[in-house]
Amino acid sequence: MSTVAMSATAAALGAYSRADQREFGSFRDPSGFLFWRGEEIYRFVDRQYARSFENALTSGLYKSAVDAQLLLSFETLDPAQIDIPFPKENCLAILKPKQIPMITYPYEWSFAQLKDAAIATLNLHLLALRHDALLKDASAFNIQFVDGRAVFIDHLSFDLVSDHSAWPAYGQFCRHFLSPLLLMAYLDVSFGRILQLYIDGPPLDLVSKLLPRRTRLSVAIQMHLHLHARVSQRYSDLRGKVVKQRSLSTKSFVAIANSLLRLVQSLNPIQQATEWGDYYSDTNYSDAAFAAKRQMLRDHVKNVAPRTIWDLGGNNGEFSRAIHHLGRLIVCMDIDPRAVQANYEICRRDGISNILPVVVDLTNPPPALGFANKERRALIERGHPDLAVALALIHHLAITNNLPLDYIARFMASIAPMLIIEFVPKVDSQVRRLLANRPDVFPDYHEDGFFSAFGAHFEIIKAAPIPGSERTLCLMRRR
Amino acid sequence: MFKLLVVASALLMASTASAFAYLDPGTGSLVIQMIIAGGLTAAASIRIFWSRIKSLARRILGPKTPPIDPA
Repeated sequence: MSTVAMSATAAALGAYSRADQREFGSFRDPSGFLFWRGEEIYRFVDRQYARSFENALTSGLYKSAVDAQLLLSFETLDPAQIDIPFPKENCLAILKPKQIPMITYPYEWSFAQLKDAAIATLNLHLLALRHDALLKDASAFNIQFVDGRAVFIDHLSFDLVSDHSAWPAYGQFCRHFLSPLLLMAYLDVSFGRILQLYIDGPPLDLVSKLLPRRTRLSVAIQMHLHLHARVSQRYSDLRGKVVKQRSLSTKSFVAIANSLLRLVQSLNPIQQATEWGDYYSDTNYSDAAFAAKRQMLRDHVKNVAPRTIWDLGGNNGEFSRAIHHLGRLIVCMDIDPRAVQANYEICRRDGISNILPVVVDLTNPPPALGFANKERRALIERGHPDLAVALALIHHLAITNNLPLDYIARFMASIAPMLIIEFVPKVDSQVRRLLANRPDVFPDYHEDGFFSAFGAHFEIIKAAPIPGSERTLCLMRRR
Repeated sequence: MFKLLVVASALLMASTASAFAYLDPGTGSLVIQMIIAGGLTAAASIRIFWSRIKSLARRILGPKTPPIDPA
């Protein structure tokens, strides 16, 4: 396809999604779709979904699932009472789900988050089975972290169990959840990002080849992954219908889901040292300087009074937790999956529900993905924080990644109108360590260079040295 | 069934061959469930049976709860 034709297609798709306000990523399911009314998202339920919808309502499935915090809460609206930009003759109902302030994707989660998402999906499927239904989709993209918990967000993913001979989402569950979890449990925690490359989960035969031989000794892994991969290959080029002779009993549906649940619950991330796992026990901060930095940060955040905050390079969330009571939501991003997992586990333990920890490499943030690059949105497009916080980050961007200070300032200005940033000079032991084995090709990396680069994009409201350290903490407003 | 499954698993331990094209990855996921369902359902029944035996044994052999004092 020529470039011109491609851009014409892209323009047509853009026009299509804007014209009818449909959420682009919601095109697979004929049962309904998501659409926007202003800043709020709604779900259109198609008449062809009537039997499953009635069952989920009347059997109490929706209510039990919402009560168990497995399904996102929602209101059912009468289509006659609401103005929608679509023909109403096929409309059974309009759902207004609880609005989610920040969408994250499975390739941005740590092991513990993906594991909790997998457990929530299986528990919801098991709950559905007790109401004559099942989950027809087990996509990891159907889970979001809302108020600190993994919840399922697609209200039209329930089908009547009598309409299926086997669990239709079994393959998807094994690709989206089991495969990355096994790779992270047996090989490396960075495999969480494999879902960024394979948006419908990595192929089972690839995962089967990558996993060590000892995983074949586990009956559960053998069944759900290795044997599953072989059988899938065996049937991949077979024409015609195969499975129609018999249907599984509900007992069998439950047994398969419970077997997956036990396997997922038994998995733990492989033990390995990562870059920043124990960062805070390895810095040059004295306790007094640490406390001073925390207090200065709190004062700045109080001044800004933000609703949403992005903590960039937030490590294990130490400073996010110091300010979490001052905002509605803090998205705490770090490149290290272990630090992100530690943050998630501390927040769960301490009942902190407004910090959302995510794995993000700021030098290569998650891009727009999927069909026409529109199914999954780029990280930067998914939130509009009032404040960005960048503590002990700039030297990693400028020195480890050779990023010019002007590029960094421009990027920070594109994220939020307000910025709290810590400048770490070359005399700081952390920077000295970065420069220990490489030539110093950073003549502009000093406080004056920093203020000159950031001053072009921000008005410097406050800049003060952090007592007991060589560093400076600044509060800035975008110009 | 469980033994059969273990034998079948052992036979399949040889590494999987490459597949460069999935025409329909869904069919295999349905077939595998038919293969494993029997064993898993039987194992689940055994698990329930075993837990009942254990709780029965606990009731018979375990310490008796003292009668509630009517006063």
